[in-house]
Amino acid sequence: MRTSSAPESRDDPGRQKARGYLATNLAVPGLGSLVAGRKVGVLQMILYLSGFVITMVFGIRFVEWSLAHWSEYHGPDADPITALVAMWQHVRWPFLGVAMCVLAWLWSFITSRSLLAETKAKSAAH
Amino acid sequence: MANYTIIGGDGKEYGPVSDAELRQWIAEGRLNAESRVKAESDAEFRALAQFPEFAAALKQQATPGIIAPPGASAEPVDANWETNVLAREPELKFGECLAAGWSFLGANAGFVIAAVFLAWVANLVLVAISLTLPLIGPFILLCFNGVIMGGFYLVCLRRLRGETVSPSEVFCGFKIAFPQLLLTGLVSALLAELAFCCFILPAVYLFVAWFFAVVLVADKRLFFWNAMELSRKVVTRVWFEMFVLILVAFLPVLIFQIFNLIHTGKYFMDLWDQTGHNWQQLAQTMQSQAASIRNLTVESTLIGQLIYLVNLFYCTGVIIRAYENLFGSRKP
Repeated sequence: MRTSSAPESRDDPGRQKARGYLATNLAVPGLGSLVAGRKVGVLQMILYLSGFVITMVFGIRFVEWSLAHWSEYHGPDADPITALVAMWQHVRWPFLGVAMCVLAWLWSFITSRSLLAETKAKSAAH
Repeated sequence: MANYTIIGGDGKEYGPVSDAELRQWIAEGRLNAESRVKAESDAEFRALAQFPEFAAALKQQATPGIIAPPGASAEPVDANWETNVLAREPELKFGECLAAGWSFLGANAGFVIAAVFLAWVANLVLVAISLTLPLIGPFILLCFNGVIMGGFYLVCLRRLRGETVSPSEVFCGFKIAFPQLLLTGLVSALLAELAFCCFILPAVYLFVAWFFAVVLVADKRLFFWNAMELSRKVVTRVWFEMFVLILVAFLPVLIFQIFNLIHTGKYFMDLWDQTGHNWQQLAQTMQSQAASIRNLTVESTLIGQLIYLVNLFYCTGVIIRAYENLFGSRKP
């Protein structure tokens, strides 16, 4: 079993740092880009945090609404189309929040990839 | 050539060692003027400053640029240190680590009690913030927990190495490596939480593997990702031993958490039965009992924190000894 990375990657601090930024972007999209000195990280973080807040706030409201109207839309006389329409009215905002989080995550992942490519090119040039 | 016996920061006697070795330890910052030393001809231990033969070595240590600044690492970090740590076979002395919990506390009771209490109060404030501020609170807790614990473990490590440190230096994490400690705490906690979603076990692996990341950042001033990777690579080779050591060292906290989980689960199962297994009624009952649920949460958090405080007095010595086993130089 391999227990350590290849010697060349260990010897390249720029590459290690780029991996650190990638891990940070994975945990908090935008933060890794920001720490790496990319101003675009601010936008990525704003997008992620806004998405997170929207997901949480409207997600909780959606759960509350679902519980309050459970019998109304799950009873034997319930109309599935009406239920779906009513549900969409409440679930679209949490969906938007999740979409914003995913977008921020993908955007920061692209930035991380470009940081990795940059360090790779730099070490190849040296 | 004279031989000497020294008392380490953990209260244990080391030696006999030659004067050359002793000079080497002084140069490395492992001993200082106040370290207790006994020559073969001596009946009692004396402060190292009282040995004229080491005056020059101590003076050199005190020269600006050679001695580590306050809050800094006592261990010199050379370029190959990381490679050397990875190359050697990790050795976790289980019994020694568990015994170090008591011996470190016994030898430095005043210091440990004061340092643990300060770190615990800071942690308690963060926990209170995380409970009162929805959404932002837990994020603040994750951000600052690593900074506080990094500083706390660093001062305990320096004490173990025989240096003179004050308990008030537990907050040195804010001065010495604030951004790196913040990132270590935040990234390791969030990635472990992501891993928790993948059937828990990956999170357990990462929690144990990254256990020493903040200590490495504080002690060796590593870049946060290097510290996390180094901790993971070394601990992975003794993962099971480390896992059992953490379980044993934090046993009171663990028992309480299991008890709390069962107690909370029982409370909600009773509610579920009372509401006739109806989600709507359960939600309504929970809304009507919001205040009592909140009180229950605050009560169990406070009890958990008190148990954590008592546990920390013991497990600090265990953790820093385990760290020295895995990452310290293979000398006393």
